[in-house]
Amino acid sequence: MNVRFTVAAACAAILGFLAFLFCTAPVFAQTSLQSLNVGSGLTVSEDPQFPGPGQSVTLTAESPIIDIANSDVEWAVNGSPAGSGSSITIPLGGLGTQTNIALAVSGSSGSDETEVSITPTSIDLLYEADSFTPALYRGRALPSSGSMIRLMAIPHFVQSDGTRIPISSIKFTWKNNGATLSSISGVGKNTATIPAAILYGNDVITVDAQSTDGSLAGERTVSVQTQDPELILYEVSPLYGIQYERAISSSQQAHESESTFASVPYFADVRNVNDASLSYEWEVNGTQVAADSKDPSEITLQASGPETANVSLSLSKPSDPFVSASGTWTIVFSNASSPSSGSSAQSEPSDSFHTQ
Amino acid sequence: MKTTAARYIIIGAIVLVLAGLFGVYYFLKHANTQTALDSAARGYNAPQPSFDGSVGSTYENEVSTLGLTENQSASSTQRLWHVTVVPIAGFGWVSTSSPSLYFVERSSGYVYDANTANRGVARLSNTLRPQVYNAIVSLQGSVVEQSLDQNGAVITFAGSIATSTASSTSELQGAILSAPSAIALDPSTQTLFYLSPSASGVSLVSSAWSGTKAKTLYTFSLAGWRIYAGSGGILLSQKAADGLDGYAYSLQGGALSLVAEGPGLTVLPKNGAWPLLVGESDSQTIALFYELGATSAAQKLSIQTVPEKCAWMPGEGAIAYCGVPQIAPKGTFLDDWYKGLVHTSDIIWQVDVSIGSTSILYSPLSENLSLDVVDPQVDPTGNYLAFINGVDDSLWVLKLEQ
Repeated sequence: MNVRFTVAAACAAILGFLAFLFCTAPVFAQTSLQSLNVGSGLTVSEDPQFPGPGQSVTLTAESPIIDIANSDVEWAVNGSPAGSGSSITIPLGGLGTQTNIALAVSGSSGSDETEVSITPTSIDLLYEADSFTPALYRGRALPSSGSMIRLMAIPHFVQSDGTRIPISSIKFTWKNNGATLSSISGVGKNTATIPAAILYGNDVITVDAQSTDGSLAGERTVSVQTQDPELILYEVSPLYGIQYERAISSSQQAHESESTFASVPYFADVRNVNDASLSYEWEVNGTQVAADSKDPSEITLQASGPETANVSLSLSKPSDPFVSASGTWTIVFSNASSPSSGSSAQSEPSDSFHTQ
Repeated sequence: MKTTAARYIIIGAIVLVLAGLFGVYYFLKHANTQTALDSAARGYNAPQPSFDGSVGSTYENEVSTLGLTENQSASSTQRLWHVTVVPIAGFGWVSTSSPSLYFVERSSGYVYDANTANRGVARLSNTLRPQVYNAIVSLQGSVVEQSLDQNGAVITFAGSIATSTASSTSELQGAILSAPSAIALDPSTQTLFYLSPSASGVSLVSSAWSGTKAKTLYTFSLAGWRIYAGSGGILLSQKAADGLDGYAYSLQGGALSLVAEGPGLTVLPKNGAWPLLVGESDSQTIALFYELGATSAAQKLSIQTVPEKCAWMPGEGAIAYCGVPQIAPKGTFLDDWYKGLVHTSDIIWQVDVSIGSTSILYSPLSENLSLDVVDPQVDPTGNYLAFINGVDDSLWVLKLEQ
């Protein structure tokens, strides 16, 4: 008798517990802000995963148990009906604007409800290289083989009360071509420095950011192309210095009988143009000219009369076989001693140039 | 009979002598003319440098080597004044009753005053700073001059022209600043903003003109920024490259607020804030937009140019003047223009961003002039537009009203 009573009591307890679980599961789901519903596995997927401010996001109902396609699916956004069907697209507000979405599914395969909230975030992912550009160059330094890429992520994580989450409370995870860079990832680590890909390589760099309390998250990816250094030739004026405003074109006239030209290796992996690691090989009209030991990036040409100088330059870095650049220029020396002539007299290429 | 013959002989001799003298005179005159032409051709007829002229001997020497004389330019017209034929490092309008334009000579670092009323140029400073590549002039006439050392590093000097002197030119008194590249000034407060190297990258620093009262405002891990400052605030723009995303921020309360984002992004704020001109270059074509406020969306303008060819009209309105390339730039224009590989031939347009309208103001092409407008500025009275011609770094002034 006691045994029977004990078995019956145990069965009643188990049934009661199961009934409790069955009845209370939807309640848990409704009060949770997480998209995951334990009872039916009802979830809401977002596309894009980390929508930005003002963007539209497509929400899709998913469940491994409920047959969504053959169920009634109703959506509500911020308490107002927003449509039906397995997915909807809604616009989001600005930074810090929280959008609450309620999803109700009912059908022969089961019924369930869930809620999600979305607060848009954005991340700016800035980069530049530590490659060479003239000090007052207006443009950006671009990566070349051997140079380093400097990255900076600026997250815009604004909570619904308008407060910004500081960088010190955000965990950053850096990835290069899909591989996580653990050593430079972590809380507050919004900057990274990584080597540029060699030759014409392409780095796909991603930063994932998540607030330490898990409330906000975002992601940004940038593709960084490595390029060759670019050799550009400028005339050097004794009065004005290097005339950066006027690059020497492939064929140009010199108005003086003696002119100095400076080559500038844009984006090379050096700190200055006369970096000892660089090798300059000059040729004038097919004859190799030894680079000046003090100023190898410059060459001075003297013409005794109207002559043409075919100047070529090869730049290399013996310590890095992937660094190379070259350029050729034709410089026509008119009779510079007579400014009134203004002639553009040309002559056959000559080997009579003097270089300094 | 003998007497008559003697007379004829004497008369003949006199005629021969006169003819000979005339021949000698003619020969010498022709020879002098030829010699003068040859001398001119060699540049020997240049005016002798004067040490008491309004512009000084250095300017005169440079001008004479270009085949011109002081204040002379064959390119000047009634509306357009070619202020200097020699390269300058920078310029700025100085707030005086009659608009005065101060400019810094690139070769010497001397400061000059160009008077728009009488088109006269006078040298103000006598402190030699050779090969100045960049210069800024404040509304009060203070000057920042940037030159390069032997390793190509920037030397930044900030100073003012001494006032108590008996001579016509004065010393430029100031100090060297620790500013590697980007520098800007708030004309309303004479405050300098510049980037200074720091342990974790570069710091944005504000200081008085003398370099004192330096204060770090923000630290970046990236070094390539351009700074814009004014009464409206401080705006920073990442250095641009064709086709690569760039960002611009306003610095408010120690935090960065995103202002614009786009490929090949360049900006020109008015007084360091809105309205804002935004340029984009996607490696195929360029476009110009405007933003009226922080919350207003960018609107595209019909003209294709870069903000560095534009200047805001002072005052309350939202009028800008832009040099617009006659032929719309294509491809990697921005990179090539920055490197001096390409130049444009511009037409001056007026842009009213309050209504998004554009109209042609002046075409240098009508006077057979090809000008690559760089960093223009409108004077405080709104009557003149000064700009550098990017082809030769010479200075020009356009009278806005005909």
